Amino acid sequence: MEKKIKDEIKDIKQEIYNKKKEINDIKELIKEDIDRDFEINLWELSEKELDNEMGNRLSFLNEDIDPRPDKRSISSHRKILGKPIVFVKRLFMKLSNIYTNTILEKQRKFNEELVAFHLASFIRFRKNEEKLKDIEKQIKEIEQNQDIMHEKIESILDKNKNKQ
Amino acid sequence: MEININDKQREIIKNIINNPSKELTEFKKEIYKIAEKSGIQGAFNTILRTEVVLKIRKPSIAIYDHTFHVIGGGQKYGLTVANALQKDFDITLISNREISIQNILKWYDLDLSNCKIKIIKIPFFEKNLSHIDPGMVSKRIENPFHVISKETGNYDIFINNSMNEMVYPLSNISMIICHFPERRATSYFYADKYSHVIFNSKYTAEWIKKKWKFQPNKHIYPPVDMETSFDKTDKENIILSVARFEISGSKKQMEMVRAFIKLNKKYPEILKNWKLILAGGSQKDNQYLQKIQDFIKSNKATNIEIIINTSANELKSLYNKSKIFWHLCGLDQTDPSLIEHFGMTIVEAMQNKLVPIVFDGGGQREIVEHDISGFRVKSISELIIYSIKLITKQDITKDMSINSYKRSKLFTRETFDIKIKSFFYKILKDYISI
Repeated sequence: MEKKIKDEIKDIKQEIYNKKKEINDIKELIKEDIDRDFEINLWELSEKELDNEMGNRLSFLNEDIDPRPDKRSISSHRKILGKPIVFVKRLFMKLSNIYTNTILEKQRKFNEELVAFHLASFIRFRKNEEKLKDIEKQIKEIEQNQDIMHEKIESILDKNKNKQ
Repeated sequence: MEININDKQREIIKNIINNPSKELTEFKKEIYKIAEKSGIQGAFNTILRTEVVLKIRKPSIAIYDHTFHVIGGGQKYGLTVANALQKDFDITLISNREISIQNILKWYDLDLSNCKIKIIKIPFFEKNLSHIDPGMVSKRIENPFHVISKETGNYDIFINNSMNEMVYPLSNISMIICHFPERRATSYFYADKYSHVIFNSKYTAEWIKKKWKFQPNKHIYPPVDMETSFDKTDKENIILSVARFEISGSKKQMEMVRAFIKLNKKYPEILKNWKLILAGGSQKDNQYLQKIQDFIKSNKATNIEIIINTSANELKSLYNKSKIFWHLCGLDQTDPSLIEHFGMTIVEAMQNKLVPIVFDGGGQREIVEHDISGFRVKSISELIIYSIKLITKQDITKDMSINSYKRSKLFTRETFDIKIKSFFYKILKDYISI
């Protein structure tokens, strides 16, 4: 193959690569949405997965206890107009907070109690589960000891028979 | 993300060699059209393919594993793929932590000196955690693995050897090697976006279907190469177990010790010249291991030996001189991820003519044919029955040992290499024939 062709293809490649390098968002790179929502069928989960699921959901609930709007949630991608827009929006939020906070504060307290209650149930459930596992283990050990005892009794009986 | 090359573009690429000046201008125009339609990555992928079609360079492969820096069977799988293909492909190993070609040679006896290594740090895990665990990532945070996703688009073929379905594949051809689907399809799940899903056992495939709701398409058993050159015909009376001493006890060494003590009590005359050896890796201050050692001591079981963190040579020697192999991983287990997905040490034993008695579940069912190349058991009492059968009936043990060795040939590195090469060369053939 001619060197010229190789070089020209190399140049085109470099040009496209430079453009590619500037883009950080995968969606933009391929002009396609990539994230989807998946429903989880809780009945399909194993014990370990259910345990993780309970822990994760509880921690999400904990993160979302406060329903009051956070001023950091207001931002803009616009380079020049962004700043004034954000300023106006934040100002409006501050003014409306006087009214919304009275309602949302009640909701926050309720959420807090609810999460605390779930956490208590979760811990109680965990403790009961540990107790159950201990009992199962003990039963297994008793069964195994019983087998060994049984063996021993049999061998003593055999020895006695032989003596007679 | 394979780009569909239309007829016009196909013609242009074919004609570049005959009429370069005209066709290259057209080619550039078409590249920008693709960028318009499928994004800049689509355009870049078309150039990559063109280069391979025009034989400007070798096809490139990137193999990613976030655990390449530690020894393991899964890692060995991906690295053996690299070893099989390094002659005809330009291979880059991508890891998030430091790895070296020397360590790979030492750990797995694989000379990957033709491969390149690229370390890409993931800031989220560097800042927050000591080890990289995709299980810690939820939709509440930005996907930290996108730094890898972006890199995938620089190669013709991307192979994800990690248990990490959060890397979005951008290459023309992509493969995810699934050793077991640890997580379900939740946030940042992209396993179904890969062009090929390779699985290590039918057991894994079953769980991919259950957890990810699709059928994987390529089955290749892991490579096992423990056959020793020195063939010992007069083996010793040893029952061997080789498995890590997991703190959770999932490899069931305690159950084996109990079973062996029971065997001794029940058949003291038959067992008097027999020994149980438990070999395996262990971390420091392993409570489970301590418990086993204490139990052996309290039962004065002098014919049970524990060998920890043994060298490869010592392990080979153990395989060479033992007669029977026990493996109970999965016994009394309800969590499918804790049942052996394949069982490499079983094959290692079979390659050395040991007769395996293994738990009847998981990937172990695919290795051992019950009553032909070994026995599969569901309980300790079955383990005892079949062990006594093998210990007392030498002719059965001899026949089974031959069958076991023959069976192990299905899982050798040679078999693996043949399957990998035939799979990849077929893919390559399709890739270059436009």
